[in-house]
Amino acid sequence: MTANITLGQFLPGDSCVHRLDPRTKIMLMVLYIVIVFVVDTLWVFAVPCLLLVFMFIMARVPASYFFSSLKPMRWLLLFMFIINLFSTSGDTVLVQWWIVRITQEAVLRAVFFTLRLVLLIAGTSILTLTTSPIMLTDGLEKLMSPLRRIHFPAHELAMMMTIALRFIPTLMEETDRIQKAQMARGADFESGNIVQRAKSMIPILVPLFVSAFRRADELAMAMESRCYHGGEGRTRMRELHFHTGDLTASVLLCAVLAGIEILERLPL
Amino acid sequence: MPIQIEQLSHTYMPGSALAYPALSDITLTINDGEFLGIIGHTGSGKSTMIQHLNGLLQPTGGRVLVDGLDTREKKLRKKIRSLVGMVFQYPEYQLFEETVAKDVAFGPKNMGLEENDIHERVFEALTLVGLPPERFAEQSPFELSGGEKRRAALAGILAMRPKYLVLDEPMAGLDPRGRAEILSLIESLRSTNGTGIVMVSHSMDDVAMYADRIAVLDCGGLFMEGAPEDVFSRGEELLKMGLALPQATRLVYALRARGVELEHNYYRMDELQSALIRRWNA
Amino acid sequence: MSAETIIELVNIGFQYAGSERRALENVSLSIKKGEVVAIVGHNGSGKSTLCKMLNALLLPCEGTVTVDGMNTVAEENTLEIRRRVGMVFQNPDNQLVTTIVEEDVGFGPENLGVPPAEIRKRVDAALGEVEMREYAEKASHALSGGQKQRVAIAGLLAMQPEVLVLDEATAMLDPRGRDEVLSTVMRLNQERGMTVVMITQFMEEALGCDRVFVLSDGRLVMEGTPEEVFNEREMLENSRLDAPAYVKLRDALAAAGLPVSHSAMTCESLADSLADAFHKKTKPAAGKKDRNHADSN
Repeated sequence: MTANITLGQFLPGDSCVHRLDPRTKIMLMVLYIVIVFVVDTLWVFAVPCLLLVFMFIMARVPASYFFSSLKPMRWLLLFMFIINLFSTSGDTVLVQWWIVRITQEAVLRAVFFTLRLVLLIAGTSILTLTTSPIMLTDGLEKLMSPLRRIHFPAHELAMMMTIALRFIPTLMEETDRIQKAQMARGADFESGNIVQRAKSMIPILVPLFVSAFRRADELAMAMESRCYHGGEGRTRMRELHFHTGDLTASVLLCAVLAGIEILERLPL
Repeated sequence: MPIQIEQLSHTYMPGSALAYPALSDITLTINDGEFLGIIGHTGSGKSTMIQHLNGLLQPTGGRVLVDGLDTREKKLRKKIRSLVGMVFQYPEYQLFEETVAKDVAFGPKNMGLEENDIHERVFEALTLVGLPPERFAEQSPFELSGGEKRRAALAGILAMRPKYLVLDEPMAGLDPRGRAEILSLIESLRSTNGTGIVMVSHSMDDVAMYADRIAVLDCGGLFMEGAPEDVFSRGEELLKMGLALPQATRLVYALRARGVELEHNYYRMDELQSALIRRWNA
Repeated sequence: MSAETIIELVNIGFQYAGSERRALENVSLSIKKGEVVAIVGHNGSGKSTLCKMLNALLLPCEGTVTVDGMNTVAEENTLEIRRRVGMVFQNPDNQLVTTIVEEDVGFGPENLGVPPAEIRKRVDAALGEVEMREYAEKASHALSGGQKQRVAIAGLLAMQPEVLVLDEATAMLDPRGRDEVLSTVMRLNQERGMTVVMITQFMEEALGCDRVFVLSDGRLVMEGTPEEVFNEREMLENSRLDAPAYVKLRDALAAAGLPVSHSAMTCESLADSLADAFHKKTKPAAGKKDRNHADSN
């Protein structure tokens, strides 16, 4: 059966976030990341949190996606929280037990760190949920195109990303098939130490690589047959245009950033 | 001992919103040394079902016994996989070793056999599939032609000397000559070694030619199983399921529609030919 | 149907670099506009090599290939030739470039620099012609083999070709997928006058064609109507090919004395001919059959 891929999953829809130009969304995502890192006071964190909720609502993405985007990272988050809790030094000791010291500064650090990670993961998932893969690569290509003057292969990179995204599910299915075929020949992928397990991947990786090269060959032939000849002279079925919505969203996020800067400087 | 499938059900991703019932309540026995053909429309559950025969998939309901061994027991799976050899579609895509001999040896090696035993089996398997070891053993599998690659992949399974051989569309993508060669090889395995054969195929003519019994899957359930004669006599229902009929059977039905009735629903071209000549000379 | 030639191969010779044998030797053939042509041959007969010459993926070592008056050797012709001769390949997966169906169909026109609004129109029209409109926004990898091949065909139709070449495009499909692709292509020929070239190993597929070319070991050994070609049993045998099952049956019955029509090659036509023969035989002309008939009345 086809593997369920939550990796960069696109949720088709017609919200105002969906309709934003992908370039806007990419640049605003960068701005959002800046916002998340600029915040350094506990109560000011409420602003990016509210912003996140606002984005989810505007994108009409169900809350379940918030949790499913964090689920793969939950152990990492817990781990990082604990590390920060115990490794940061500070003055105000809250708990002392044997060699374990938890300070107030450490608690704050841990909370900030975890909160930032959560905001980042959930926030950037909005980008991939509301933008189809080809819109993303188109947006990136357009953003990178000024670099073409210094011979930066913007189009080629974008095409590579498009093809890679297209083949992820296909290659995952193939990996599954190859794995099953080798298991039918008695291959064991579960037992053994690290070295043994790494070795046991060879019967899967070699056929997968060989197959990937063959696919690339055939795909190149098919693309050439369809008159592909690089980025020169290519048009797009879906052209990218900036609309008022893009301006509104940009102004909004800039305002949030400015507001946070101000709030941070307030003596509270 | 036969393979016993008892009320086998399989649901993918059970309990989730995406739960998909691929198989429901299948009961079937596969006897020693028989040739069982499995037919069914795309999506009827054929691939899912055969993956239960060697424990690659676990039943969500019912059970599968191979020579009395339950596929749900993790510890028994290694033994089961040496009894039931499985050849997937386009098996040449699983070749990975530096030489053909090493690749064919992969299965026996996983079975924990001695070097001499492995060597003997590799030699035997390569000869069996028509790839003379003197010529092919030390070649890289990636340098072989398409047909040769497939035979090398088949040798890899045969080297495990399985009691049952399960094949998923073994002739897919081959030219007419290649198809005939693989089929006669499979049949000779059955007649010479007594290997039980389970073959999933869309080619009704091939199934009609070689199968002792045919199981028809429809939307995850077992529609019917029986001798080819019985299965192909239900032509209307098979057509409705989106299945084709053997070419001989199609002609029998076409003649019947034109008022020429034959004694049997012939499903083999050679038998139909004789019957028509007999009828003419009567 | 116009008698104008659209593709012409004259004395084609080809050898792959590093190979000693000739993949193609002295092959000449011409394809007319609006024809449905089959090129059949055993594995290694050179049919795939020949196929790639039709759209300048390969250039001949000797001889010339002309498409609609353009020589394939001239680089300036390449893009236009590839637009006019659309090619569908064997592996349905390895032709799809993007994630979403309609975006993939638009890939060809995008390469040609067609204006965006026009691309949109062509994509919608093409998807309609292959009966895949409902799948326009679906993920391409999730389709069945037959559906993927139809999307590939739509991608070619969006470039407005004159010729469709199928390079063993049904070899990896199940019977339903094969039917879908073949009926789509035949419909395009009948309704749009699209020239169709089918490279195939399945003799049954060649039955519905106007002409059949038989390749063997790099040479063209025969060309003719399906009827003519499948009656040359010895030639087929030597070319490692099989006549369709019904043709073989027909010949065996004819040899045994049944008056089967020499042109019957399909199930239906053979049934017609046989039923005719049997009915004529049991007509109460005279003799021993009379008593049986009297009884049954």
